[in-house]
Amino acid sequence: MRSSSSASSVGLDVAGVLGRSFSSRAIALGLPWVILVSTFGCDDPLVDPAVVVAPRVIAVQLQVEDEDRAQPLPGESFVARVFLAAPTSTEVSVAVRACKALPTTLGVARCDGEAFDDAQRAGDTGSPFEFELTLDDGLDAGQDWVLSGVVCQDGSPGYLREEARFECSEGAGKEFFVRTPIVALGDTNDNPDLSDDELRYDGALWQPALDAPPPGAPCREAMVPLLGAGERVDIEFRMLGDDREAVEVDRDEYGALDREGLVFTHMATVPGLERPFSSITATDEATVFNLGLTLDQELEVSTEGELAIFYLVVRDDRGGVDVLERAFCAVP
Amino acid sequence: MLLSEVNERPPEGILLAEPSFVDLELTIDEHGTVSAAVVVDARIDELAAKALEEAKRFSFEPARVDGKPTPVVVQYRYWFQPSDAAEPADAASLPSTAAQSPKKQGQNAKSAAHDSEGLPADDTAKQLPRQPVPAGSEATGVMSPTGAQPTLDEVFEAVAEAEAPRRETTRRTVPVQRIVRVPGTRGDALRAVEILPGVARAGGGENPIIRGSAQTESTTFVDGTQLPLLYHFGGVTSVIPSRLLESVELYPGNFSARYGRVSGGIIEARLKDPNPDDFDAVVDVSLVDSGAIVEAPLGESVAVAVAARRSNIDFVFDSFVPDGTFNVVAAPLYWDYQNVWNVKLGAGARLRVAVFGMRDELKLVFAEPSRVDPQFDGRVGAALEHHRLQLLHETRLGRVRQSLNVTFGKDVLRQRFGLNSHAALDAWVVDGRGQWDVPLGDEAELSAGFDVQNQFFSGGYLGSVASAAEGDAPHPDASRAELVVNETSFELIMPALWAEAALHPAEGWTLVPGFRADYFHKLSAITLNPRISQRVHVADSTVVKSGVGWFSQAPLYYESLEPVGNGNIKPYHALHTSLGVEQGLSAAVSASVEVFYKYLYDRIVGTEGGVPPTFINDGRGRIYGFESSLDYAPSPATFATLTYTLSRSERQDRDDPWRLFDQDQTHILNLAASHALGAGWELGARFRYVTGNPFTPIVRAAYDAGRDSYLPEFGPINGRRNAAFHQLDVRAEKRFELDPLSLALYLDVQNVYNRQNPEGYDYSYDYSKREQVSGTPFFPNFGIRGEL
Repeated sequence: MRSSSSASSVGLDVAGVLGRSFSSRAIALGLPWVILVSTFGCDDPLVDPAVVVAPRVIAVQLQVEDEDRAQPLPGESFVARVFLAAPTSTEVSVAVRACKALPTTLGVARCDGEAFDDAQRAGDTGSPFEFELTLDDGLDAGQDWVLSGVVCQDGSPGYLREEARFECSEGAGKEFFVRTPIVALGDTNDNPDLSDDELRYDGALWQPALDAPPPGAPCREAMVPLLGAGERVDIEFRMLGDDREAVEVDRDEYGALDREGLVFTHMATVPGLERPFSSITATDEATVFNLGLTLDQELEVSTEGELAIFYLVVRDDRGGVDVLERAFCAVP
Repeated sequence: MLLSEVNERPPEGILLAEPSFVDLELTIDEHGTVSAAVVVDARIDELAAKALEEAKRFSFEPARVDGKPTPVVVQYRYWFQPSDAAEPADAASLPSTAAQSPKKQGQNAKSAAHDSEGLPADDTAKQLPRQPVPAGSEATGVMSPTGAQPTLDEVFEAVAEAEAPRRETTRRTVPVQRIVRVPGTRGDALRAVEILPGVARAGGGENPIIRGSAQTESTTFVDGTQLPLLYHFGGVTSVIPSRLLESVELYPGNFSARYGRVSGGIIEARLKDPNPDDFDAVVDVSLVDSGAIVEAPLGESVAVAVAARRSNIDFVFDSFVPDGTFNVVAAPLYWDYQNVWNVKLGAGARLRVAVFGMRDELKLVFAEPSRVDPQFDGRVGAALEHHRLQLLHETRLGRVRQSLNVTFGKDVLRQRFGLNSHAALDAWVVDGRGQWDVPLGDEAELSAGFDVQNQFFSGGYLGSVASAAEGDAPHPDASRAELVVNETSFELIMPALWAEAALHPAEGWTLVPGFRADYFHKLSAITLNPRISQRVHVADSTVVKSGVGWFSQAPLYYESLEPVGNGNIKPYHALHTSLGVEQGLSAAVSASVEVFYKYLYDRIVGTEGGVPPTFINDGRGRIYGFESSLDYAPSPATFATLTYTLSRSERQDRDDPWRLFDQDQTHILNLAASHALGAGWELGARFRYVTGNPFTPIVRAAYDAGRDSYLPEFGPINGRRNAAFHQLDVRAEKRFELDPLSLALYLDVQNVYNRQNPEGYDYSYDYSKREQVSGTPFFPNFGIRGEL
């Protein structure tokens, strides 16, 4: 399903005294919607988000030093890791700034006033960009702060104060942000941890590659699984340590769930993944999901193969995130 | 009343074993002469020819509107008696009118003697079965002898479908028999109002866009009861079958003080009384839906109609869905039902009980979850139900006409969208209306009444925060904060009192001052709406009309519900002004032009950034334009209508610059025509040209790493427009008379030349690419309808 600005797709068209739901996620019971959905389903013929065709941010992890905590407290130092995916190893510049967020319930988060910390770094997309920052000690519980940034493939990052946004000196940058609330110490959220879970490639444990070449490089001789054009592999994820933290809720709250649900985003540097998302909801008993990856028969790769990366990102919908990468070799 | 000589003998060579009839539509000019006659229904062709020939010689006393002779169209049933019964009778030996053929007194007897609420106006008329006349009609088209002394059995009454003296500045009455022939509407009278001046094209949703007002600012009534949802699935078809409707009236502005709580326009649909004399049945089967209607008398004073309809879309849905799109398909499905009881209580009183309801349901499980929104796991479901029981009692208390209407109802909403969005909401509804009309001599009439709406809600909600009903940038759900409304209950109690006088200071001049006071219990707010309108017959065929008035708009139910909205929100207001001319150019041609200006103030708009309290009364609006229409109806078999509207509708939110209304449409051109070719063939076409809707451009996007979604940033709200909409629809119908069954095959084709009309854009997940979303493609709908 694609994003849409047409009134006929997903919107608040349902009419009447009760029919008008106040959520824009409410379902428009309109024939155009039905036609649209039934015609296109959830496919996106414009751009497949599960395929990494250019450097892009896939996650931003905040972590308080020596802890799993994803929500720093006012005055605390923390690490912001910006994870990038790219089809080939690429040099980029990344800039970030942390500031108090403008109050809003919608749209892109922007700074309310000056940043209380910022940083900039250039490097290769093969590793996450880490920034050590400190949260302003003047923030209060209930307020939000925002870490915003930009990835510049060409040129250097700059910040436009008038428009409260980044730009690159050359070319269009990739802007990103993460908005985080200030909460009391006992209410903070931890990052989920994928390191204690299993990822299997056609049933075999899929381990991180040692001394693997960079993405896009010849790989037939590398110690990574081979996947030929037209072949399908079954990727299985098993969550061994349950990362769904308990959440304190009012039992009478409408739709309340007493633990987190996890949403997994998966993508690869070659096309063929069945879908871009999976989930293990708060109520799911099974903590396993399977995902097919079929290389296009017509995929053009050299006879030496091209190293492809599979990315798995998990989010707990409360700001916690973790990322896992595995490599395989796409061959003709 | 026709008292001309009527020859009931069948033509030579035709022997009748029992009485037979021919239904005619007669156009009677201002001199009482039949200027056109058309056969509407006949079982024997030779009788039809004879009836047509005879009817053209009829003479009537002219119908009158405001005392002025006026052309009318009359439904007339011409009876032929069996040969032995058709001899000229001695008047003295004939039985009284009551002893005549029931048919003759019944549905053929179309009484013109109705008062303004359709009630019989005198004792003679009370003996006659009632035919519905829209409330607000007056005794018009009363026909009396103009020629030879009549014989008793030649006394017919006829319903003259003339318009009553108008109170509203502009009332566009849509004859259902005509409008159901408009192509592209699938015979839906309520959808066909889109061809009227001042009505913009609505891509879907609830009510039409009337004079630049939002769909939520107009409403639809069925005999005074507000219809919660006009269309199935936002526009497939209206929830009341057209065959149950007598008329549809559109009040685009400056409407009566009877109506309130909306600042746009009013659509009033009137249910047809069930046939009191005969059994009627209609079965209609088409690709989209199937339905049946049965009407029958139950004794002398009771008649009933029962109808039901169900969509067929789910039967064929699989054929249209690409393989692998869904794991489970259980939708879409809609159904509706209606049951109308009409009970004559004597002395001109009647009770009508109407039960109607509907359900829309959609439940899908996608084979794949969303490729954009990680919160959408592929599960989608929604169901919407409305049920109403309407009790309508009309009577006369001396010279005072009284109408009481009580409606009970139940509404249900269930919806789910992915992991984190679901809602369940129920409401009980108790509405009431009372109206008393008091004649004050010959020159005035006073009407007054009450109008109360009560809704008792309960339910809960989990999902994203509310957006403004209009003018909000189309922020994706992923960019909105989440909101939880715990199981809660609340009431909306909204009583109102109103009064209105119809004054006739001079011949041909009707002046209508009115006043309405509404109380909004939840908002602790009172609104006072003075209104005045006038219509002046400046010449025989020329009416100048104008109006000015205040109209207050109730907030949407959630806008005042905390924490969704603002508990301190107030109703907002509109000032309507209009000036126009109606001109009769001939018996068959009429034209009208009207200019209007509306100013909206205290509009409810979203707060900056959507922060609590989410909604505030800090918006304004200005709408102005010009409407025109040209109608050509030489006979009931032929009509053509051309309407054109030029308008501009703008809004200002908070202190932002003025912007275009979401559905501002500068030019709206409609051309519709239909013609009965003979031999049961009828052909029609409709062409529409409408300026494209504005849209808000997306200028860039940023990645929200917390939600794993790209969020767009917008340019000026409604800063750009879609390309123009134009579409041609055609309809062909062939009727077969298979006595006693009448069978019709029809083909209604929308968008004949498959124009890809833009309705918006779809964007890639990162907003780097976009493609146009087009509206309804070439869509043929074939159906068969049988009538007994």
